[in-house]
Amino acid sequence: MNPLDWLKRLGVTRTILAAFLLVLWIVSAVATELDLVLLFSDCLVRTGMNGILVLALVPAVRGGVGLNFGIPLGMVCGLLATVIFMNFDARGGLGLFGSIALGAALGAGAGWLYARLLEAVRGQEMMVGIYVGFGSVAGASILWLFFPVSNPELIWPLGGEGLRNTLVLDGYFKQWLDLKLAIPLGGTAFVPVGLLAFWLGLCGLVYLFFRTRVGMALSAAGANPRFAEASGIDVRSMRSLGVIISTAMGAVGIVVFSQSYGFVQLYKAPLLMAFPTVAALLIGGASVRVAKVSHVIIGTFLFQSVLTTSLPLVNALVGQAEGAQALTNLPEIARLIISNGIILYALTRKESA
Amino acid sequence: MKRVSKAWVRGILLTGLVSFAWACSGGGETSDSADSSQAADDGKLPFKIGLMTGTVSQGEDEYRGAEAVIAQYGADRIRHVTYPDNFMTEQEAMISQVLNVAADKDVKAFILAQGVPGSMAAIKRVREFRPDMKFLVYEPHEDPHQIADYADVCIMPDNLKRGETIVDLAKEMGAKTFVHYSFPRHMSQELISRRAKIMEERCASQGMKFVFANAPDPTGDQGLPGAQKFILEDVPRQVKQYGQDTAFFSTNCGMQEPLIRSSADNHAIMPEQCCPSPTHGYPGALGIAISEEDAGDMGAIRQAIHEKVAEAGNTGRMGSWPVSVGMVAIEALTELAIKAVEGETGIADQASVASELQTAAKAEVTVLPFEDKQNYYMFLIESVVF
Amino acid sequence: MGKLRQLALQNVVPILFTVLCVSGIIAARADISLPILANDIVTRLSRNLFLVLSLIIPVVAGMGLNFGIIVGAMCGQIGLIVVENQGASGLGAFFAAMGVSIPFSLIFGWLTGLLLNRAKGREMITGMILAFFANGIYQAVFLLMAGPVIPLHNQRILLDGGIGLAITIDLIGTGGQLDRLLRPSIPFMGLPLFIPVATFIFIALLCVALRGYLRTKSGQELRAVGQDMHVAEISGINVDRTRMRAILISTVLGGLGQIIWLSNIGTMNTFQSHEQVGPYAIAALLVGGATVAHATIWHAILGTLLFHTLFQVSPIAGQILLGSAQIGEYFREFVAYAVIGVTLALHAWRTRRS
Repeated sequence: MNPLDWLKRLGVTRTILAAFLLVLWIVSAVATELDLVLLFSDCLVRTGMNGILVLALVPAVRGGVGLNFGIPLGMVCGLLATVIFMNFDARGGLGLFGSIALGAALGAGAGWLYARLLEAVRGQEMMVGIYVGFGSVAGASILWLFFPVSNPELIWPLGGEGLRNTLVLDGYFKQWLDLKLAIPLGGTAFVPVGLLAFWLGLCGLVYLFFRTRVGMALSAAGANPRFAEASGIDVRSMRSLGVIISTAMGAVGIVVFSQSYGFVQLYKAPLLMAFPTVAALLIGGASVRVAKVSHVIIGTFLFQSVLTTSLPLVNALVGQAEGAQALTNLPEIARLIISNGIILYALTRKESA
Repeated sequence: MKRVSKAWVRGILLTGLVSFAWACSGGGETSDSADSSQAADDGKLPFKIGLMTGTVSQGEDEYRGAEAVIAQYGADRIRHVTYPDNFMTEQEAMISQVLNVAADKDVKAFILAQGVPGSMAAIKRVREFRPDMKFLVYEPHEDPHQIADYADVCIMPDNLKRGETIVDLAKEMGAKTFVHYSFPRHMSQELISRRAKIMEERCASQGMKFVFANAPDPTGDQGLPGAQKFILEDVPRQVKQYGQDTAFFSTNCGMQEPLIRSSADNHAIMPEQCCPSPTHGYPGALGIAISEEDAGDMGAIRQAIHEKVAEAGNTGRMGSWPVSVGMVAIEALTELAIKAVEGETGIADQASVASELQTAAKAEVTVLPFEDKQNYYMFLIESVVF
Repeated sequence: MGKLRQLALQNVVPILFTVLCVSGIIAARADISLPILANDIVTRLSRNLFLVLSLIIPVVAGMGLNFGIIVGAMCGQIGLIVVENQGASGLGAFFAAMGVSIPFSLIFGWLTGLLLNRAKGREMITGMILAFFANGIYQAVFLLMAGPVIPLHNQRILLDGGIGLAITIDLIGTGGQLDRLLRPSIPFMGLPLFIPVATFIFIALLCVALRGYLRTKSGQELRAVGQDMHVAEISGINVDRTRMRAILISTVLGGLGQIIWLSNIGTMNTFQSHEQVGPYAIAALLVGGATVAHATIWHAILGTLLFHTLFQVSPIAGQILLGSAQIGEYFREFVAYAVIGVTLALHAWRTRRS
């Protein structure tokens, strides 16, 4: 395939973002003392840790319910599973995969209820999803306070009851996946092979799923419900299936996110996490109706890399200008404008395809 | 016809609401008055105190401080409410909470801890119908010159002076570079931006390099996880550039946990948190296990932190204040409020504020007025090094 | 009987909320003071109604719930900043702030409209990201340029260094001006109930204007676009221009509404006051029985009343029912979000039944 065709397939938005990222890296390499290898390693870790959450949106879009802003519901299930396993002092791979399995099961259950709600609100799924997400985070906050916790590492140190804001995964399964098969790049930098493999493996599974009969029926139900109905597909249960998978994967996603991050964040932390997740998928080239696994991979990498690179870069650039006290606020503002400006641009471009 | 009937429904709804409100109001009135009549003769406070804090997800210290004074004076004497977690954008809810408690005629004094934005507006509104209400504010977020005109007493950790003490402590711990994390919204708070300048000057006079680093705003597009992740990524970068003898400081409570964690992991220096207390950030960052009987025991908590820091091989390079400043402040303000309502004069004097703080902290406390204000004080407690 | 049932079905959302409010008041009756509650509800009505009303036009035009209203709110704040900088005071200053905000609203509203026209079907998420983006610009202007570039000189609103605005600005000149103008009180259960009549008159004027506008040809075009963009296009309506008009109106009204809101509160959180505008105004509108496709003035009024009553009552009710102050706060949030989700669900269920 010649490069021009390849560019065309990538789309204008992605090309611009990729070029922007390249410029960021070149500037960091040429004009600052930033360690490019470390920066690159951070980009990969961030991509891996957010990737499953972004992937979780795909089945919902395919099933025709649009962007699943209710993904915090799945995250809360994953957090609950993690907390249960930590409370029983399950460490290492057992803790991680136990949390993933239980989280997925809880997520599937919650997803089933959520799907029934969404079925009732056809046409307004995204609005309802936002509030379901917010509501589940607020409801979970009450749960965290009442959780019958016995592991002393998890209890509020002053109050002696309820779960802490932040639980440390050290000694449990902190970076368990990240460090599996990791290729060290010197210093603290490394390529998180285990994490990326796990994510890409899941991507592959989702890809294969959409090749199966059920997966194809799900896509058909989302793309053209009437036609699907006519050809004998149970559209309702297919849509529900999409939501259930999406919510269960949201639960898996937050467990993987937490292990990479090293902390489990309860209470308000998942509240706004749906938005960057959705933004990553959209940047990858998806829309409300179309989402492919390739969109997930490209979008997560581009979006997370731009976020990871831009702030340290601008910090370093401004830091070099001597006596620039007045400019101390500039980097974060610049980042806010640049990264959101680019998302806006991506959202408002009229794509031909 | 349809329009008329719709209007009817709305009318019925509204009347229903109002009449229900009327109907159940009787119950509320009687229970209130019954409360106050019996209160005076059973040795309890003959009045109530309103107290507003954040929830535990904002920071545990103040909420536990409130629980402590409730345990002392009884839940019927202290009316405790909380402000919303995203208090920056939900002023309305915060004001309503204050108003509702202030409507109780037995509430004679009100403690706002912390004095989140909206405090001035709330005080103004309450004084419209309760001009006698005393307001005591811990850590006002609003303009210090302005809030001092509204509140009776304001206290806060001496954040300007801390600009010098933190740098000095970092120097003692061996720091050669001082990294200050913040973001625009915080830097537009007068005391924080002034402190950053003080720190920069102090670093210059101590022969240290001062680095101002921007972090993402936790209320911004990446949320708190994004901001925390940034800290975890950036500390190793800074350590790589400036070496392990780098001291870190962040102005945001949510960033303390990753900052403490990565300072310990990278053997960097962490002289003090934004809000100094052994319970702020350390337990979450280091996974401090507190058994049920030790919960709330500051000595045990300090000991546990000590062990964890030693385990990380970073002894002598991490610090805080020995007690929870939030708890101390709330206990001290409660005592001041009681004295004020009982008619004692001079509660806003430097001496009485200092003595109450000292009693609550069980440690030496330095109290100084803010500029020329006679009711706005800033205090310092001696640091503890783990 | 069948008619009554139909009516109940049509108003199921407001009815549900009324039940919630009333049961909340009953649950919290020992800890709640009704005169204060009444005062607070009246104040909140006068404070929020204008903002909620400003959302109606885009809904009618089929653009859904305008999260871009935050841009309007920022323009309103620009107006206040300019006037407070001059040190002006009084009712004139209040209206001057409104006057200053309008040209800004028109410019930024126009840009918002351009953007949203390019993002048909994705207006909501685009509006949200736009708010983050605009926030960056707003910070750049008022933190970096206020002082050296933009001639703001009043030390009262600037940071100590003379660069950048203070985080909170006490609205000495404009605060409470309209509310104080005519604020009679009627005795209500032992305490005076203050009614800001002037503010309500101002809001009533807007209601009349909105109603009138929707009956003009331009207003009818808006409706047509809202019902079906393609049909409207075929029947010769310039869809993009109509949508632009809706956003312009909404942005200008949002700016004015924000000035009323802030003037009532009396202090401005310079860099965050605007952020809360979107979600809550939208929620209030929905609670009143409005939908993504249909919203009227009555929905706005009833919704503001119910939503804010519930917001006031639910933390106290939660505290009493569940026994701790912070659970009351989480309960409030849970009720607010969950109930809005349920509201939307009920609405969709109702439309599908009929």
